[in-house]
Order: sequence, then C-alpha cells, then structure tokens
Amino acid sequence: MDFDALYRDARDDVHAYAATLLHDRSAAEEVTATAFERAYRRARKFDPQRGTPRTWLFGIARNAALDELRRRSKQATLAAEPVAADAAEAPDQVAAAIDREALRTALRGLHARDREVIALRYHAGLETSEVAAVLGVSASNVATLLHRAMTKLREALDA
Amino acid sequence: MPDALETALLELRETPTAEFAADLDARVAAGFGATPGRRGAPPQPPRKPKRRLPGWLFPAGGFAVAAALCVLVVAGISTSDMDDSSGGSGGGSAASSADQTMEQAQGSSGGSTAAPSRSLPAPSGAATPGRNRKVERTAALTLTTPADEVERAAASVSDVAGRQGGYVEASTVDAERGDGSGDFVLRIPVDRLDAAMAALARIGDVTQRRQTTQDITASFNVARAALGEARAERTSLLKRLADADTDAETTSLRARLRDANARIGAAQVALRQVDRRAAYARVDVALRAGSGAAADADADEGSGWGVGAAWDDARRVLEVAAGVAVLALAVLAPLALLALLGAGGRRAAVSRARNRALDSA
Repeated sequence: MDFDALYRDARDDVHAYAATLLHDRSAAEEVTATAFERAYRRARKFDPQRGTPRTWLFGIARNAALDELRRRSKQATLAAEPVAADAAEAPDQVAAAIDREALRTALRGLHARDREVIALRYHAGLETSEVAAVLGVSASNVATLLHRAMTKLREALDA
Repeated sequence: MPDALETALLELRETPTAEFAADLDARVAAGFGATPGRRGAPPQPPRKPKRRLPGWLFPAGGFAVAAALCVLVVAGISTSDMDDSSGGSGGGSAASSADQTMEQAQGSSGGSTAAPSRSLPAPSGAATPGRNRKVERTAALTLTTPADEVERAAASVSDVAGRQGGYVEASTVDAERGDGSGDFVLRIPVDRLDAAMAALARIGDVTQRRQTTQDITASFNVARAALGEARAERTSLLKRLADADTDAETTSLRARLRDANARIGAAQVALRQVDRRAAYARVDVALRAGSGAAADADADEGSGWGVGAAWDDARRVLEVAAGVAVLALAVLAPLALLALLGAGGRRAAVSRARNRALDSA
C-alpha cells in the first residue's frame, strides 16, 4: 500500500468527516492527525482482502473520532468553534450564508449516528459500498440509514 | 443528480486550514517523529520510543511457566506412583477364616546382592488393617558396613530399637579382625516400624530388604474362643460344685476345675501371644562386613553399560520429553484459549464503548 498516495488522496476527506461528526474544528484536526498516525504505524498490517485502503483508513478515522467522543463524554462539553459569516458579503451571499448556517445548525442537531453517515457520504466522499464497509453494515442498510438521516435533516430545516 | 440539500451539504464541507495541512504534511514526511501540540501550542518533543519487550519474551515466558508446571506435575505423579508401588501391602484384606500372608521384597531378588544404597526408600508397610483385624508384620534387613564398624553398627541397631519403643529380642554379634557380623531379632511397635526401618537403613548399606504382612485374625479368634470356652466351663463347674451332694462328686468337680483353670491360663497366654504378634513387628537385622562389597558390586556391573543400556536410557528420555510436551500442550492450550477470549472480549468491550459514545453524543 502506498501510504503517501493514500494520505494525499484522503487528507481533506478525513478532516471533513471528523469536522462534521464532531462539529469542532480543533477536535477534527486532532482526530485527523491521530487517524493518519495510527494508519501509518499499522500500514504493514493492511490486508487488501478485507477492503480498500480508503475504507481501511476511514475505519481507523472513525475509531479515532469515537474515542474523541468518549473522551468528551467524560469531560465538560467543549464549545464548538463557530464559523463567522463574512460581513462584507453581498445580500445574495448573506442569504446563502444564513442557509448554510441553518443547515449547519440542523446538522449539529441530528443524532450522531445520522450525522456520521451524512459525513461519510457527502463530506468524506465515500460511495455507499464504502460507507457500508466502514460502518460494518450492508449497503442496503446504509441506503436506509442515509435516507432517514436526510429526511430528519429536511424536517429540521423546515422546522 | 444531487438535489438542493445534497448540494448544500457538499458546500458545507469543511477543509483543513493551510497551517494544519502544512503541519500534518511535515509530520507525515517525517514519519510521525514529532507529536504536534494543539494549534497555537508549541510542538512537543518527539516521544521517546516506548521500551517494548522483545516479542519472543511473552511466548518464551509462558512456555517456561508451562514447562515448570509440567515438571511439577510429572514429579508429583512419579512420586505418587512410587508410593503406590512401594507401599500398600497389607494382610488386612477381605476376611477369611485362614490367615493371609503377603510378602513384599525390596532391594534384591533371589537373594543376590543388589546395588547397595544407604537410603532405600522405606516402604510404607502394611495397609492399615480393618477394624477388628489382627495383622502381624515382619521385616528383614541386611546391612553391610566396613569391617571395623560392625561393633558400632551393632550398637546403633540396639539404639534404634530402644528409641522406637521396642526391644532386642535376640542378638548375636561376631566382631573378628578384618571381618564381622551381627544378627538381631528386634521387636518394634507396629506403628513405629516404618520409622525404625528408615533409621536402620541409615546405619549401613542396605543390600536386602523384605517386609511381610500376615493376617492373624483367625489365630486371635481361635485363642479368644478357647479362652471363652474354658471360662464358660469353669463357670459351669463352679455352679455344679455348689450343688454337689457327695464327697466323690465334689472331688471330681474340683479336679475338673483345676483342669479348666489350667486351660484358661493356657488360653490367656496364647491370646496374649497373638496380641503381641500384632502389636509388635518382628524385624530381623543382619549386619555383614562389607568393606569393598559395594565397590565390587559396582566393578562387576560397571562395564555393563553399553549400547543397549544407552538405548534404553535414550528411549526413556524421549518418553519423558514426549510426556512433558503433551502436558505442556494440555496446559498451554487452555491458556492460549483464555488469552484469545480475553483479547476478543477486550476488543468487543472497546467497540461497545465506542458505540455508546456515538449514541450518547
């Protein structure tokens, strides 16, 4: 396995996944670095028969993110770093920012499991089969989970 | 074609900052040699490599522990086998009217001199007789000592008898210059027989050893019955004497009473003798001057170790090694299974904890 190539290909995707799941930029950076370090140290143990390098990497990243959630649950809840809207944006852009903020808020309000499947599919860019491999469920199950998560997201936005 | 929501989600994707990306790129290029701090904090010095124990240490340690356990188990089994084969002779077995004898020979066969040893293991002797059984134990021991130590050894034999609560029933000691011998008949309380034999074996080189057990319950019962009959007859005669009317009858009854008393006396003596036979073991000890006897025996047998004996020894070693290997496997397999179960259990526990964190987030 070419670790450098995997890193270049997946760095931003892992970061995006962690940021959506944890809705905390600082924690996302920490989890991203941890995930790649663990993958680097376990690169020799990668078994191509058990999945692709990307699904293997995201399995490691998922565990690192869940460990962060476990750590958080034992401490006070960290405040997420809000993303400030750009004050010089044009009215159209301001409206779009509000929409994005509303979406971001709705996304944060979802259950972590729903947020995770959305993060893997849309922010990490994994295909349904790859998401299934990372979560350890069937592809049809992933489709169902994704559909439910998107439905809840729409309901939250409409609310 | 993505719908509006999917498109909005894609636009919401967060990208890493340039600073973080550069930091991480550097760490990857360095093979993760330094641990960066959180953003804004100084990077921490490279972690000292954890001192890892060599990978072979744990299996080797586990095998060593298992091998030690196997040696202990094999030694324990061998010891118990030795005890079983050396002890356990007993005349106190199932009842029968006839006395039963069991012999146990130790250390030699056919009267030939066996390899001398100062400390042959003392057999445990007769099995504990059942209740109401009378068992007579006898033993014979042949000891060799240097010719100039026969007298000393003879004194030691007497001392042993006295210390064990017994006595010397008969003894003959012949200490000639350059030669000597001694023969003893000891009476030792049966519960001290094993200790006495062990003490006697330390006096010289044991060249022959024998122990016999004989159930004498029948003899005891006969003697007791005879005593009972004689007493019953005397009681009857006394009653008849009290009712005697004539002098002739009285004289006759008195004569018969005298006979009955004599029979009672004899029966009592016989019963006491049987009792003593059961209470005191007879030990015949033969002392022989044996200076050089042990060396001669060794010399005679020293050239006997050859290819055949080597083959026997090698086979025995292989048998023991195979036995140890089987025992090691029997010990290691469950341990390995437990370790696997433990590792699997730990992984399952961590997975469950992660899922719980996801559910509670």
